[in-house]
Amino acid sequence: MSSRLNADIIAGLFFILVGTCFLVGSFELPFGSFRRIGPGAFPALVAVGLIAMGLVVFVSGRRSTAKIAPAHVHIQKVFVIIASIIVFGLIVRGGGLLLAVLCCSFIAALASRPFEFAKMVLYGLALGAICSVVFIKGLGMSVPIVGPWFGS
Amino acid sequence: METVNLLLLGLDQATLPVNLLWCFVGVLLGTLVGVLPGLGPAATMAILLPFTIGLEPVTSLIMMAGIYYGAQYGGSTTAILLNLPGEASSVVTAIDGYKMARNGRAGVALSTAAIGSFFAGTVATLLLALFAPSLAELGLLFGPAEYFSLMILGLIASVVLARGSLPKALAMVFIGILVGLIGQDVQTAVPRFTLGFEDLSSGVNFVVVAMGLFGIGELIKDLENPESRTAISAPLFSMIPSKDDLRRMVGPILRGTGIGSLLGLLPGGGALLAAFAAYAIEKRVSSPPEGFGGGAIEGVASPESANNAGAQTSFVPLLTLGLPANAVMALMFGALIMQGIAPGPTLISDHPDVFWGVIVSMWVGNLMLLVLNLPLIGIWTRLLTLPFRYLYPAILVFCSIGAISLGNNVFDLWLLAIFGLAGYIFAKLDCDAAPLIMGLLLGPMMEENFRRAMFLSRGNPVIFVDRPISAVLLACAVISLVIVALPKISSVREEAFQE
Repeated sequence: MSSRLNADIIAGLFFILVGTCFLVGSFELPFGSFRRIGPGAFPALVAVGLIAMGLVVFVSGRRSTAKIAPAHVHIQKVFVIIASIIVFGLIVRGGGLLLAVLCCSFIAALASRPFEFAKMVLYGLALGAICSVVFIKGLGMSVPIVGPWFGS
Repeated sequence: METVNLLLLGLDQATLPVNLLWCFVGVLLGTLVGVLPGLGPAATMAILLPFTIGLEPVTSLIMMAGIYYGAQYGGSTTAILLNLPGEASSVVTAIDGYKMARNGRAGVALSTAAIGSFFAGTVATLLLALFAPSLAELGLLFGPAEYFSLMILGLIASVVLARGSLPKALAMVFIGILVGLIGQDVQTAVPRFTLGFEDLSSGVNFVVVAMGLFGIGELIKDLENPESRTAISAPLFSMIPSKDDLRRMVGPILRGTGIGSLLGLLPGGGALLAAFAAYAIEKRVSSPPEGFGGGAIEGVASPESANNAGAQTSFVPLLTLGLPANAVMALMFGALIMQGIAPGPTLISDHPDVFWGVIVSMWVGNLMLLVLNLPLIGIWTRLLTLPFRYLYPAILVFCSIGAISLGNNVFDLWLLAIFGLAGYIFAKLDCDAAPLIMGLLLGPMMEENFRRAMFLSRGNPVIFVDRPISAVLLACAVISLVIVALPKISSVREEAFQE
C-alpha cells in the first residue's frame, strides 16, 4: 500500500461510515408498502445514496496521483474551541450566565498567542456583564445571571 | 393598481418605528459582522438568528433581511479596502475595487458600490412586487408530486453550485437529509435515529447545525492562520464620484441589475452567480481606459449591482414556492418556520403584511445602507485592525448563548459542539457545507411529499413524470446535473490520458 491518505479518501470513508450507520438504523423501522411508505424506507434510500457517493469519492481519491500534502491540523486549537462550548453548557444552568461567559471566553482565548491572563479575565468579565444586560435584562432570556451554585 | 395599494400596505409595515429600528439594528449588525473577515452572510445570519426569535414575525424577518444585505455590503467594503472579500460574491469586486483603492480612489469605489447596490435593490424590489404574486398562483397548482420534484431541483441546484466535486456535494446533501430525518416520524410518530435521546425526538434544530457548520467551523479554520491579514487599509480620499465616473457607471449598473435580477430567480442562483456572470459580461461589452483588473469603475459597479439584485430576487422562490434557493435563503426559511409561518404559495394571501412588509423593508434597508453606512466606513475599517484574538471569544460566546436561547435546552450546546467540529472537518476535507444545510431543510419535506404522492398514486412512482409540471422540474434537475457532470467527465479523461 503505497497510497497516501488524502482528503478524498478520508471523506469517502467518512461518507460510507455515516451512510452505513443510518442504513443499519433504518432497518429497525418498518418499510411499509409502495402505497403506504413506512418511516424506514426513505432514510434507507438516502443512506444507500450516501454510501454510493462515498464509494465514488473514495475511489477517485485512490486514483488521484496528485500528492496532496497532509493538511496540517491544529488538534489543540480545535479541542480548546470545542471545549469552551461544552464548558459553557456545563456551567450556564448552575453557575449562571456571567460565570459561563467568563469561562467560555477565557478557555477560547487559550487557542491564540500571545495569551494575556489578566487581560482575558477582565475581557471575559466585561463580556459577561454586557451579555447579561443585553440578553437577560434586554431580551428576557430565562437564564440566571448568577446561578444557584452561589446560593442565590 | 392593486400592486400599488399592496406596496403601500408594505410601506406602512416597513415604516413602523419598531420595524425601522430593528431593520437598522439588523443592517448595522450585519455590516459589523460582515466586515470581519472569514464570516460571510450565512455565518452572520446563523449566529444572529436566535436573537430574532422573540420579535414579531414581520419584524424578525425584516431584521434578518437587514442582516443579510448588511453582511453583503460589509463584504464588499473589505474587498475594496483590503482585497479581502468577506464573502464569495464580492470576490470579483476585489479585482478592480482594490486596484481603485490602491490608485487612491477607495472612496469613489465604495460609493460606486453603494449607489449600484441601491439602484439594483430598488429595481429588484419592484420586480419582486410585480411578479411574485403570479408565481405564487402557479405554486397553488402544486401537489405533493410537484413539490417533491421542486425540492429535487432545489437540491440539485445547490449541488451544482457548490465548491468542490460533484459526488462530494451530493454526499453532503444526503447527510443533510439524513440528519433532517432524525426525530419523530410525522406520520407514524415513531422515533427515528434518536439513539434513545429524549432531546432528539423533536429533531435536530436547524439553526444549531447552521451555527456549528458555518460559525464555529469557519472560526476554527480562521484561527489556524493567525493574523494572516496584516493588510493596511488604503486611505479613502474623496467619496464623491466625478461627472466622468457617474457617466461610466450608468451602463454597468443597468446591465448588472438586469443580469442579477434574472439569475437571482433561478433555484440555486443568487448573489454569487450574479456577480460572476455580470463581471464576465461587463468584460465583453465595455472597454475602460484602465482595462479590467487595473481599477476600472465598471468592474465595481457591475458585480456590485448584480449581487444585490440577485440577493433580492432570490427571495422570490422562497416567498412564493417555499423553495430556498441557497444557504442564505435556507436560513430565512428557518426564521419563517420558527415564527410559525410556512413559506409557500399561500404566504402572500395568508400573511400579506409579512410579505409586503418584508419587500418594502428591503428597499428601506438598502436606503439605510446608503445613508448610514457611507459615513460609518471609517469605523468599519478601524474595526478591521482589531486583532482576531479579541474577536473570536466573543463570537463563541454569542453562538453559545444563541444555541441555548433557542429552546432553553443545554442539549443544543452539545449539538453545537458536534456540528462545530463537523464543520471544521468538512472544511479540511474540502466539502462545502451549504448543500448539507439545504438537505437538512428540504429533506423532511421531501419525504413527506414523496410519501403523500405515492399514496395518491396508489404506489405508482410514474406520478412524478406523469404530471407535466413535475416532469418539467425533474427534467431541469437532470439537465443541470448532466451539464455540470460533462466537463468533469472530460477533465477526468484528460487526466487519465496524461498518465
